Amino acid sequence: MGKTPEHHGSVAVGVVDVTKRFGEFTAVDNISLDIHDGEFFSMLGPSGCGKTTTLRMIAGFEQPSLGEIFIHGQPVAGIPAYKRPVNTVFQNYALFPHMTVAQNVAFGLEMKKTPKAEIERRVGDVLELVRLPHLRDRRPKQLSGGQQQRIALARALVNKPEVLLLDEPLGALDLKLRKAMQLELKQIQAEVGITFIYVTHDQEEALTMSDRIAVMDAGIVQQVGEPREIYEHPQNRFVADFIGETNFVTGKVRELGHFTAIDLGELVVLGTADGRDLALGEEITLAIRPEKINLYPTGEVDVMKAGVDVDEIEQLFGGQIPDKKIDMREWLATEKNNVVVDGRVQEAIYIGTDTRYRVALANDASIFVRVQNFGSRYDQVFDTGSTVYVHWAAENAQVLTE
Amino acid sequence: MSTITTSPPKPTNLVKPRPKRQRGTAVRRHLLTWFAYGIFFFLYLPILVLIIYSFNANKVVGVWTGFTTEWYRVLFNNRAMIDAFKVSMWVATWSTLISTILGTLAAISLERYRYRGKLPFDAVMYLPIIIPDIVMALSALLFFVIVAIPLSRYTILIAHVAFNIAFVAVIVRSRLADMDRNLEEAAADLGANEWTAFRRVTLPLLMPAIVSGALLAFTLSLDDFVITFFVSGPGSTTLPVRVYSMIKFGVTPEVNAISTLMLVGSTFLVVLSLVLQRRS
Repeated sequence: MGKTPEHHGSVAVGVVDVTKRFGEFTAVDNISLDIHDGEFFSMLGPSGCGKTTTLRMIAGFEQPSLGEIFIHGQPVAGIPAYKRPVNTVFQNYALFPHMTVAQNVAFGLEMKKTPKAEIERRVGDVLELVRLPHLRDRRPKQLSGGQQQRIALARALVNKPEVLLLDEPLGALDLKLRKAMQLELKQIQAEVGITFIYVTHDQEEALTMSDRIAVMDAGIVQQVGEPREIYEHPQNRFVADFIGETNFVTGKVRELGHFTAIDLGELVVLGTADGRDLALGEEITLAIRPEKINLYPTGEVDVMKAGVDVDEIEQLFGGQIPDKKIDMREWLATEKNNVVVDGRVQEAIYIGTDTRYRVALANDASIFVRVQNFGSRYDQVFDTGSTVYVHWAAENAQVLTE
Repeated sequence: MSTITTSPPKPTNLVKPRPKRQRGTAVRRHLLTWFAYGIFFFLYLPILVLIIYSFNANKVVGVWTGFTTEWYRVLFNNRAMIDAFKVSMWVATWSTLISTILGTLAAISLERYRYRGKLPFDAVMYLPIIIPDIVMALSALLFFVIVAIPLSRYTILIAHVAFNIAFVAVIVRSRLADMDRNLEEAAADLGANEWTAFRRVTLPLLMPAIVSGALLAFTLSLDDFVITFFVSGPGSTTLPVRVYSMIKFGVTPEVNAISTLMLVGSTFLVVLSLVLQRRS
């Protein structure tokens, strides 16, 4: 959020305080990014968030209104697209329809006046890399979407760019092919070692492929981090909401400490503030992922029917699975970071891998819970209307201030 | 032996009875067909008559006496006619060449660039297509009189270029609008400067539209009568103007013959232009 990035030697692309306006509209609002050498870096956000504009500025198709862009330390302002050491894979591939596959791939090398023999060799090599050497004499129109995508990739990679820019290159492919191409792209990137800057609106795609992700919205970088960091520790409500599913509960800070106690009306729960400064009484939002919440039956139940992992039970009871009944609330209360509140199942939807529950809490708030269906005899099924204990670990509930 | 039990096929009435309304629509459909035939009849019968009578041995049009190619021979020995044909070809060739280049450039500038005065330029660009020929003709004549250019084959050329630009521009522009702008960016991205990107990517992709625009321009130039009639000077008569002056003395089989040749020529060019547009 407008912080000046630290500069070190391995920065492939530096975006420093860049703003881009189109007339009255600000597409990119004072962003700064450091993209490291050899990194698979994604810019993720909804359409209109400024990710493509940023990519186009790096490519040289647009000029920043303010700020500067560096490629390997060199400022690129005023350098036209055709002189920049970057190549782009376009969303619709933009293969030249009047040329064969080989002519398309050779285009960049011809522009650089590479000797004929070398062009021939490198075109062959790169077609080998994308595993389509047999299609070299075809026209783009004769290729499937997936093949066109790979040729577009080959046409860019053959020039050995310092940075490869990819603008939603998998957007036009069907789901299955997209998943396969995600892994293949990642593999090719590892093989060639070129810095990839990847623009996508698909959060799953970004999480799957990236070393680091910049989540963008409204022309602003909302958070930069590794996939796990972004998913587990979203910095604000937008990031938490955009990446995956999240429950939001708002309340006031009641107690500060290792975990923050939050007043939710009739409930007090715990969450983690990740070192953020909070004031008592401050209005905050708690974000909890549906899969990080557990449901347990209320009252004293047979241990084997509580839905607890069998290893955990053995650990707790010293390898002996007891005969007696237990109250899960009491058992969970032995750990200080456990949050247990009462709930009532409002809706249970079976979706194969998981069962999704909507659970009403004491203060009229309701949250979504995902329980994985392991298919073991310890699986718990709760009917609509049944009362449950709702449990999460405080470190999995993220306190958000904005 | 065990029997495989299958349920016997149910006697179903697969053929649905035709709804009664079908007959009414059939009658209507036939009416439409005959109506269409009627229209084609009135449109093309005169042309067919013209072609047939260009081979008529009798000099009186309307009285068929026998087949001959005599009139075509007469035609090719008619000096004035040959001269008019040469002027026509000269005007058509040069006006096509000039208007194709200018029209293509105009299309590119209108489709790809922003500049002051683009909107009014865009608006007047296609006027020659809409305004009546007679208005074009009069204004062209008036212009040449005012700037004191003597009427000659050059004034015909200028007038033809003026209206042909619009037709070329409209065809090239529609092709350009359909063309993926990313292709030009991709060329730049791969290291081609603006001129190289144009030469290697834009121009080859526009070529079918440019050629078809050129063919249309050539045809329009060859066929134009009204505008040419007004701006042609002594000794610079094109074929249509020559034909017009001939029929003042009556329709001869010779006129039929030259008309037939012009018809065949223009039809060929128009069809070629359409085929090229279709293929792009």
